[in-house]
Amino acid sequence: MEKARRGSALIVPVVMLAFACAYGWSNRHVPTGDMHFAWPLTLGLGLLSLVLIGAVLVGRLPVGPALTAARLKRPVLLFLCALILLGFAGYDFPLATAAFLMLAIPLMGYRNWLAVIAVALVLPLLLYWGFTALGVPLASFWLEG
Amino acid sequence: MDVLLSAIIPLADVWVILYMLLGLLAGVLFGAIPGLNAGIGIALMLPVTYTMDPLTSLVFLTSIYTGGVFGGAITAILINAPGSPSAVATTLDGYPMALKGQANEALGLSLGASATGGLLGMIFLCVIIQPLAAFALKFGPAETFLLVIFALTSIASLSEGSFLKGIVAGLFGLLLGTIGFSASGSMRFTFGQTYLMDGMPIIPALIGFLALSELFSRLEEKDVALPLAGRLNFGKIVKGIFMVPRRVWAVLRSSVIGIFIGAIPGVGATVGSLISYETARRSSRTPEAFGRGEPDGVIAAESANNASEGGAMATMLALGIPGGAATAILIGALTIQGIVPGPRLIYEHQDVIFGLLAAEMLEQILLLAVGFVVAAAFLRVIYTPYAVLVPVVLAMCYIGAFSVRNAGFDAMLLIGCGVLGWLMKREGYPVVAVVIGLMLGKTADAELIRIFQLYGGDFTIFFKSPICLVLILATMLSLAAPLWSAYAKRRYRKLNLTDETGA
Repeated sequence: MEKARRGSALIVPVVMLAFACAYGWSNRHVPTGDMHFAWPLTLGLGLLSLVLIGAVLVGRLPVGPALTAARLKRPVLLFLCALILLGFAGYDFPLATAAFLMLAIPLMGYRNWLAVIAVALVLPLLLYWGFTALGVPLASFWLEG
Repeated sequence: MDVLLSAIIPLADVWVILYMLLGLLAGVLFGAIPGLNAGIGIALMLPVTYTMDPLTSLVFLTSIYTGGVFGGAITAILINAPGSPSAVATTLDGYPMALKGQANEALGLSLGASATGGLLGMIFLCVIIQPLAAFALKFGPAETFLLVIFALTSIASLSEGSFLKGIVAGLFGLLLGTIGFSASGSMRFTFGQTYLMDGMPIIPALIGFLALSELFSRLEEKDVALPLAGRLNFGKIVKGIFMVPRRVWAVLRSSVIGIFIGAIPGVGATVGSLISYETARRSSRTPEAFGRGEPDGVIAAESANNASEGGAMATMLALGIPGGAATAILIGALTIQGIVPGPRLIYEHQDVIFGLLAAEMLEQILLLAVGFVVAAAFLRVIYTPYAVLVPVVLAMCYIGAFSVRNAGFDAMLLIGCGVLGWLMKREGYPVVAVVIGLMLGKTADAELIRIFQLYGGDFTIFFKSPICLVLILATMLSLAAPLWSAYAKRRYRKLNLTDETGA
């Protein structure tokens, strides 16, 4: 960590500030009696986020490494692959997980296709059978029953 | 005595023992794989426990905790890559021992010291839990509120990096914790969604902030090939284990340090083992041998980090305050089982708590065998490429988050918390402060509302009891600590600069 001016360091304080504003705005009609704790926290979070933003802008805060394309590539790809799970695992867990693994593993940089196919085909089934046997209700239209 | 004896009976159940062994095995593996740790292991294995009875579930999860704290030492010694942060101090002398051709002895030492330290921690827990819970029963709303505030300030101030970032993370967590129905029935920040009415779903948030964020962080860096570990020799490992009883004083001193450091919220096993290592070095007759393969260095680090589990569990079970990531997830697991940690826990679920204590002691003994087996048979697992490991772990995270309520919203929350946790980690915000704030936010909010209802906003209540005064003092000290440390660092730098210009 080094003290520097870096745009990526603004992301977290801006998110915090946005959250404090949204929290305050959405709770404006809540009776004061229920907000004794939440109002000071909201104000505190908003103010400290502004202080953090100021500290980043004047380069007085230790910041993390720059968000370069090379650093972002794999986390962003994983996030995009995870959308498969979010969208389809609720309908068919083994199929969605197989598709997710088949796509994510090579994109993360592992290109031994035989191993990729083996993991992507066997693991979802093992996870499905293992967890449903333990009572976790995972969905599958072709394996159920 | 009767309670303790009746606590041992459930341990005769084959399934409890089987889950204990499986938990230890999984824990040692999670601890040994660089990038994963005990907390992540517990988070991923949570769905397995949804249908278990409370005792079996807790035994399974605490076994992962116990195994995970030791597991980091295997890679720390063999390839100088601590599997988990708590094993950092182990590398200091463990790896030099390996370079001298004593890797097996170092493994044996760490195994023996971990088991002994862990056992001492659990004995401490057995002794302290009832008096601590009885003391905590004296806590009214003011004391409980101040305890939560102290826990958070100590986490924020003791976490690495900027104090300001720690406070912001803690405030953010506390606000997340107040989402949903308030103690008097108002709905906050729900946007009319039913998913948030009961509050922020704890399990998806925990898995996202603690496990998923770590996966994203790992992917940011290029994969580094781990060096190959040498062959293991069991005779020498056993020889290493038998070196531990000859260093009783070192084990005792390190365990006591580990227990007390572990009991402070936010400090945990990593700091405990580093302080213990430094204490051992300073009090040694041959301090120059430390860092060059001194067995006492391995013992100091390993017995302290496993003993810290006893201290952390005491704070968690008796006060309901999670000290770190692993205990935060354990509280989440308890909540799923309908058990609320805190002073009443020991009176309301005596069978579960004493059963757990007895199991924890057995775990420390079984750790000797399981650690041995993992080092021998499963060491190859640590070489699994991240490109394969991360997607597989993410799929398991999904199961953990989705299956609590079968809600797609929870899966989206998991990913959201994971991404936010990753961005926070890379900028040096202590994510564990968010998690602990999230877990304690509702309690603090409810207690403050109660104070207003009972005393009509008369804040002198905070100064009327000695417990409150001690907690206020402790909070002020924890707030002052980082300021003092920054001042001392500036002064030291200034003095050095003057010396250099003077010279």
